[in-house]
Amino acid sequence: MENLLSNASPHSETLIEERGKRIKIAAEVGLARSSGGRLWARALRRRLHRQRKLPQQACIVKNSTPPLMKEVPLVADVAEEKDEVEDRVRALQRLVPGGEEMEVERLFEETADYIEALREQVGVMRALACLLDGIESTDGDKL
Amino acid sequence: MEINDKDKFELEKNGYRLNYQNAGFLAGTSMPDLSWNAIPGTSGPNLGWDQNPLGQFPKLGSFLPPSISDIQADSGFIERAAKYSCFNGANVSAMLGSINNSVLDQSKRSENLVEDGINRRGLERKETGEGASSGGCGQEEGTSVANAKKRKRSNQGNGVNQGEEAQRSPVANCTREIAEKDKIEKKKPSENQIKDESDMANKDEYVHIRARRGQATNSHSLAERVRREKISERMKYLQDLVPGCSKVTGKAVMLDEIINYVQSLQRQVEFLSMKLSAINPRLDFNIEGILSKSLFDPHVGPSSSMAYLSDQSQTQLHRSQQNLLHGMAGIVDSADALRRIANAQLISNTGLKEPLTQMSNAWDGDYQNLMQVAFQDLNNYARAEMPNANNMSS
Repeated sequence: MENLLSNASPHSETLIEERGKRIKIAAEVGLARSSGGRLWARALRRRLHRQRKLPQQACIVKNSTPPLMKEVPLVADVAEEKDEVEDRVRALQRLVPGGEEMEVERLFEETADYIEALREQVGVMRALACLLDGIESTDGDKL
Repeated sequence: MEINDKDKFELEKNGYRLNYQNAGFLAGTSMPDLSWNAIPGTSGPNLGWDQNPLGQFPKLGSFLPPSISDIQADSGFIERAAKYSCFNGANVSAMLGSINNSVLDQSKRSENLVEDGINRRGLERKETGEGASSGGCGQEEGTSVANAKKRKRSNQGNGVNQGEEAQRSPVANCTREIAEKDKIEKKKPSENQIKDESDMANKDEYVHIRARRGQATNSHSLAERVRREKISERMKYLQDLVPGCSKVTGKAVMLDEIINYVQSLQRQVEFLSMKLSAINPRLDFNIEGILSKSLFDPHVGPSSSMAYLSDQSQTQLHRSQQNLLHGMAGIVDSADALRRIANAQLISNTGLKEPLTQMSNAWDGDYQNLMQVAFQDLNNYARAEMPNANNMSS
């Protein structure tokens, strides 16, 4: 990667970033499509829709209104413990798309599914990167 | 009869809470008085139990013949226990239904008397209640409960007491009830089933949970308890999912780990997308197109070749990576690149950062055969190319 950057023209750094962003968005699109029934996937699709990155026909389920679920604090025995746990629950809610509107039980479900989907995504991207790396270096050798 | 007195105490104590299995349990055993059973407690709104003639308390008959395997019997009890003990949760009945289907049939056949309309309604409620957990959770719950059941059975001969059961984990809470049902099943006559049903008819709108020893029994705390149990189930599932979490105890630390893991996965996606953008492929790969489809694209070619490949390499190709493989193999036309595809699969599956060059070298001997078979359906062009490539490289 460093080689590529060093060979690149001064402008292409931002170009790479831009491309990277586009690729990341494409990855998110793939992620969002991967699990239609899940709340986080729906929230992700909604977000992408708002940014107009997701082509219309790609949507499986399109919810215009988010499910209205109040955030319920996690019950813990000790007061300070409760605060700690609540903080973390809120942090998790921010991480998982659509988590803001979920209660804790649901949040955990969605988190589990989200983690699995993310893992797959990472696997695919890594495979792709390795592949392209290989092809590139092979071609380079041949030349 | 002494037994009936115990039952009555139990009923009064629970007030409007039905606990027929407990009553049955008491009725048939000579267990020592259990504290929370024997307390002539505050009677809440009584639903007509006082009018019940003595001696007609519900007893669980032998719902399932003992010949049925433990797990099946236990799972049947699971349903019944849960249906009397669960809130309405999300309506994900299919999840639990799939798990309990086979068992359901068993239990239904043998529990004809009890499986009247009330129970059916209750069963659906049970499914919705318990089905709130994710599918994976549900599976786990089923197995974990079943395992707990086995432990319980082994304890039966020693005379399990309620106090010991009260100390079990929340997930095993159901199991306690179920184990008691086991005992009930073994020892009770079935004449009380009928009483059961009629009492059920009046009480199905209530949540039927047995209170743990020393715990409050009002509806709020019980609801809380159910909720807490669900949450801890899910946390357990997450614990399995997140690597390195099994030793960690405590909610806060666990959540920390989970958050870190999600963040690291998201960062990996970002990093990889930067990396992919930096790669300047000579061929036009349309990375974005691949990524935005890859996880989802249902149209996948024949998978037999993939299965073969995965057997050989002892990896499990996820569907997403199969898609990727198909996409890539269609484009690439050199043996070397094909090897890289295989490497990519290994990497993505094992999570290694460097290509497994040793593995690929070791493959060279069988490589052509492997690749020929593996990609036979997929990439005829590549196969044709391979002998040429081999000639060139050698």
